[in-house]
Amino acid sequence: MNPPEVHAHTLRVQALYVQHQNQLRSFLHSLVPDFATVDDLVQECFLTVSEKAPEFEMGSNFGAWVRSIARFKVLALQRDHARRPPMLAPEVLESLILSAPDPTPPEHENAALESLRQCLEKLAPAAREIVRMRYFSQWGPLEISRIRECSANAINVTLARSRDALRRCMDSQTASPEVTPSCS
Amino acid sequence: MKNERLSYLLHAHLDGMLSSEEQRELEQLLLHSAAARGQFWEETRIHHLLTLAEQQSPEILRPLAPLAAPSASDSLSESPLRALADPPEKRSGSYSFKTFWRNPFIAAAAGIVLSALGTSAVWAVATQRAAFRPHPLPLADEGFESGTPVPATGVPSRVGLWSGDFTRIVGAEKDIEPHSGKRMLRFLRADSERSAPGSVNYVSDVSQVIDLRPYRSEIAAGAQINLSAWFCSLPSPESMRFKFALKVATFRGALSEAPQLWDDAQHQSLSYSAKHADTLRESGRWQRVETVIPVSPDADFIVVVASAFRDRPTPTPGTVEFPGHYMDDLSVFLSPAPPQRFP
Repeated sequence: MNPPEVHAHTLRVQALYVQHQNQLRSFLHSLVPDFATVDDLVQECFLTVSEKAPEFEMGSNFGAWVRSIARFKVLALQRDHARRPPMLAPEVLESLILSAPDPTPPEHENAALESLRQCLEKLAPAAREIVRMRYFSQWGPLEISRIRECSANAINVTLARSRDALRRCMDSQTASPEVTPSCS
Repeated sequence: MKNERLSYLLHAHLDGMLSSEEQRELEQLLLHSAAARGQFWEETRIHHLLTLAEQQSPEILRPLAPLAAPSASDSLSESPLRALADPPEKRSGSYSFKTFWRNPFIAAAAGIVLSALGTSAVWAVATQRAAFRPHPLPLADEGFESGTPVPATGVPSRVGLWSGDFTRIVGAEKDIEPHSGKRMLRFLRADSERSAPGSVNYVSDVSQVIDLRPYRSEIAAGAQINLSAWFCSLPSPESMRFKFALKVATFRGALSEAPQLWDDAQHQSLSYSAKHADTLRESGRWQRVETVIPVSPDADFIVVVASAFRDRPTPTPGTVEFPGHYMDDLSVFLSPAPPQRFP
């Protein structure tokens, strides 16, 4: 490719990244459940994607390609003791990444989000509020427990039960996920 | 068959609550069992979707009606938040827009991408109603240049002043230069003159109240508030982790009630938003933290709070002191509800 073609190709690859970045972010969140660190990783992935864009062949699996970049970023972070949040051991991360299901195409996520919305509405208000504090306000269980004046363990239990209930609800889309918060 | 112990460990992992022993146990399970790895991805699927919702469709995680509201019938229908939380049609796109652009680098890069793509770009710029020009909201001494000490008396009950926990207005110190001007705020302690003896204090706040009533006509047209501040710190011991936060909530009521309402913000606020940031390793490097909050036409005032807090070790009774954590140049803008997104 001549320089103008490389430039145009890079722009197309960056546009693909924009389409896939939310899926990538969620993938990273499973491995590194720290919101600020994931923000950093997403930025670093974008830089690498831009740098390596000429290597990407249009029409091949972009989601898999960007995940391979993310894999290196996660493992590099794991080695960076000064910077990393609490993380799983590198060999565990490797085995998890290798076993990860294929990325869901962005267009299929919309249906899942709609299903999630319906199931969230069935949660008890207090449980739903705790889920919202965790994911929208990005507060940790300790902070949530301080605000709601209950134990962090109660918040952990509520979050775990809520996610389980949401999963069951989404699997069935018929059952009502009744979660009684451990902390109301 | 689902391994319940593994399930417990996975949830603790997702919430950053694993002890060292639990982490080792989880790692062994994941390392030596394909079924455990399968369960990992199965059980993190909802976590994945919730983080995706936060990015892509935050209205799914919209604030509930105040839980203390009458009836508490699990219904939003009577909530004062209803109009805000369940707006007509394409309001959700506005949140996506906000979230998408919150990463400045990606926003810049994507801007290049999308402009290059021309008419195929998916981001349209149309507003639902007549827009007004974004403008700052009155904030007293936003850069602390007056040198006026900040009283350690908690959230203020009137406009035009900072107050909060024990802080100090300082000039350049310990190789930290103010972000702009000659002064900045240093967080000192996570308590105030009003803190109960022996209480758990690990968050140091400074706050201000802003009256929204003069802006009712603009807010009625659909508005949001963008909040940003600059934070900086000295390196912390390896055993400790500190963070910064920017928090904002809108309320109905009298300004004098602000301290009480803020104390129960999760229940009493019309809307609430917070953004956290890890402290940077590089001593003296300023980082910008920003957040945005929708504003209900009913809102009378907002409380803005900038914080430093210790994230690790886990809080214990007593007061955390901050070895070198600074804030400067907080700004608050009122702007029209953001553009909608059209496919």
